[in-house]
Amino acid sequence: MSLQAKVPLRLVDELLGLALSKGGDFAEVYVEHSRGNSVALEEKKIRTAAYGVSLGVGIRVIAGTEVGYAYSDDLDPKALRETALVAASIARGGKNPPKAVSLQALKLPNRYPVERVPDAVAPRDKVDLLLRGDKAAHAVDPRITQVMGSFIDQTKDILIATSDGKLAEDRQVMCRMNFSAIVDDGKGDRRTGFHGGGGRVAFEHYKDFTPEDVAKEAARMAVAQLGAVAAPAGPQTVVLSPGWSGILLHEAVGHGLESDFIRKGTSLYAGKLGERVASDLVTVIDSGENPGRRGTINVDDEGEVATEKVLIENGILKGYMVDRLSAQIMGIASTGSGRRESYRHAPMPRMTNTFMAKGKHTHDEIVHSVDKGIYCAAFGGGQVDISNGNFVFEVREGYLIENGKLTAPVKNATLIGVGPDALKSVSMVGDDPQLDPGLGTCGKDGQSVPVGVGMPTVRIDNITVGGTRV
Amino acid sequence: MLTDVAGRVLELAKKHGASSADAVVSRGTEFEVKVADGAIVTLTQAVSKGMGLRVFVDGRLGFCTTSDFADASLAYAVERAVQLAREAAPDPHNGLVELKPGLEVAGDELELYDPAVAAIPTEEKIRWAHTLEEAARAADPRVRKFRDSGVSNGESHTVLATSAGAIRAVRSTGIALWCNPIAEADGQLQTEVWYDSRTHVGDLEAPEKVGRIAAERAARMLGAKPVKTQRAHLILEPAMAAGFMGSMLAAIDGDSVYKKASFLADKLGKQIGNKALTLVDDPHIKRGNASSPFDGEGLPTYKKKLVDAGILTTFLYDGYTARKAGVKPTASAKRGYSSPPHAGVFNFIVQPGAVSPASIWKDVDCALVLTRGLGRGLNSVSGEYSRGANGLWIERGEVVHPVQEVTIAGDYLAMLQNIDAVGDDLQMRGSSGAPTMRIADVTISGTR
Repeated sequence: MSLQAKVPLRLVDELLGLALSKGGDFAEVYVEHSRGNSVALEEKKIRTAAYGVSLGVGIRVIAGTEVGYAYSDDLDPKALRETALVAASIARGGKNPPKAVSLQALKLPNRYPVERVPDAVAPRDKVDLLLRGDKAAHAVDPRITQVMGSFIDQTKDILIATSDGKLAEDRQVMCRMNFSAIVDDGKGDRRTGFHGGGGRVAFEHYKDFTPEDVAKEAARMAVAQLGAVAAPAGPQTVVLSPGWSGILLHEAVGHGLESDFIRKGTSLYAGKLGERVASDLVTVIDSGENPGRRGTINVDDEGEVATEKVLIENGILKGYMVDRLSAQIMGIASTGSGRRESYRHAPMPRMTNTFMAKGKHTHDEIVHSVDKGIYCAAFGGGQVDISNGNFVFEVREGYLIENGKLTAPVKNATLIGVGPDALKSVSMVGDDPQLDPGLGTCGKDGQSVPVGVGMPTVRIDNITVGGTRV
Repeated sequence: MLTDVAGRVLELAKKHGASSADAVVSRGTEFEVKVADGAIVTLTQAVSKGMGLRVFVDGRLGFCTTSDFADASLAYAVERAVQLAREAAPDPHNGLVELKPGLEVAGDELELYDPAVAAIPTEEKIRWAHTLEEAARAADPRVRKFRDSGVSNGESHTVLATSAGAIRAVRSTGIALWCNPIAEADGQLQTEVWYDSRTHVGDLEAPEKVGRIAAERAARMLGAKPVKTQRAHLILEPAMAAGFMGSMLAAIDGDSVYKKASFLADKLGKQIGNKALTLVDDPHIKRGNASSPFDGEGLPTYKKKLVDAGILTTFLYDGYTARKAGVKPTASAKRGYSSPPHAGVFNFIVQPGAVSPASIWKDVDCALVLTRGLGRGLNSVSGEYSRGANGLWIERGEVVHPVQEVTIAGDYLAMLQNIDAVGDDLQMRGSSGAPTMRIADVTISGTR
């Protein structure tokens, strides 16, 4: 790969040595070169197209439990040596004799084999997808007033070298195509719909995941919500549709099981290993292994192969997502969960693809079981406070359930709950697990990373719906 | 160096066939120290740079950005931008705004640059970070854990240059303190963040104060529980009021107006809120965090009322959206090097009223005081508002208990009409400021 041409291994070795020269215990060099393209459509035409490059080196030194981090977008050896010394200064007053590191290249799995990287795909082909989708969405209903589409891709090469001898190189590709549609009934009711997806896939993914299907789904969602009634306020029984609803797990338990919060005792799940934190129908897994998914990685940003870990098994808390530093401090193994947004950021424990295992009820059985409640067909974003466990998420498309049937669409609903309470209230789990189509971006401490979520149809009793109908 | 890079990419753009172009080039330094439990968590230092180039090719828009300034890399990025522009549709509204040619260097009259910021020794900043934490511990015995506390500072030098020969340069500094403690009692954890952020180190609040306020805010949430589902008064603390009012900015962006993606699209010149409501964008606050003498396309900025006594007085326009709407730009273009310009505000202020916060609390039988929101809030297409809330339940001005696991919801325009008190206690934090505000008849969703 081309990264060693930009930063030769001999220089990487020297940087590791310099990084430890002031007494640090561990050093790591992270080299990144990413190229991204984006095309945007609005008002039935291509508004703009853009290209971006990010190239740089991040150097981390750990001394005890303290981390020094420095980065440089200047690859000149002199600038990089200076960067290593700046990171090294976290270890105050110490001194290490220069020690040669013998780097051993890690053998990595190949979870996203892509022959032609998205950066090499002709922009015209991406433009064509958007124009096709635009046409299909407008054809759904004459009241559609706006269709917006975008195609965004990234081709990211990374190299990680550590003072304990690990060397890993990976090429991480990402594609994403989104459409949103706005419908206006001319009487003041204006609704939006959204659909999209992708992952660590080749451009050919969009032969099956077609722009027509995606854009039509966005338009359908918008039109279906015309005439939506105010959502009821207060505790309700809710049924979550399979797939993207897995964002519930991401917010309600995922973040709280990240090892930095656990070891500092700032998460409400700290110290609860082996305890019941969910109904016995609930098994939650985080896996970096699912082929081609948005959250999938061959190797984490600390040089560990990302694994599959069971977080909750039949309601019992089983494990955490662990990065290198937490592993060292907690005396447990890293789960390959150390991730970062770019060379400008130090890694921290993060989710990859977080999903709930399958249950035994059919989707229809679950819907039919509810006399009065809310069906959440699609969600927008969510957020969690990992200390008190409160999480919210926005219902993008929802319906009333009356006597086991979906009736009127509801508007302006947010769900709010406390993680363990909500998961203990899971009363039915479907036999129809799905991963999301590739929509998720997770933000933590100002760093964004792509993630996947997934879940079967799920019934939760007694979760608070933030509507306006009292 | 920055002007030189800008000149090179503009030259290359012309060579590859762009009819016009503008470039933003920045260079900056960054420092951040985070501590927790008396030890450093992370200490980050860097010098970074970036370039963003917008090209117009036969009325078509292309863009590129890179952190790699090697000659060959810059040349490749510019070529790609021009190629990509050819894939976009021609649009008569594309183009540069008209600027006075020549160099204008700004920053000094607005006092955006403080040389003392760069001169603070690292050891001093580490000491401040520890002080934040110690002050928080001292403020309340139930505060024993921390997510982190920290100090960050930086400076940036930015040049905007256009193919028509205008160059605008600005330099600024920034320094911030924050503290994120966890209070714990009876098995419940509550966290809060408090911070201060300034261009000048002399204006920065003392770490002792920031740490103490953070701890008090976290500790007062212990014992939080939902309230009953009901309609009631909502009181917004100043920081919450700034956020609540700021959520409408997306809906007055000229971009969402022409896309028909705003519930305010047909409300220009109309009463959208109570007469007590006046919203201002002031780019000229001395030492202001987001102050700037010119916008992201180089136009001179000016102070403007966005909402005046409840009437929506303007949308926010950059060059493109203004031409598209057939109006003059409002010099509202915001821009870093990583993306093309987009309209926004500089320093956003909710104008204070005449009522004391104490009477805002006391003049109603009961109310929810919002202290923190969770989730997005406003749907700027439909105008509906719904958000998770942490707060305090008060009766006749006295706190009864802290509140969590509830949402607040309503029609945003109705909420603006229902503002029934605006405080006299304007507080600026970061680049926005507001006083305490009260809104009647908000739906609170909680227990049965």
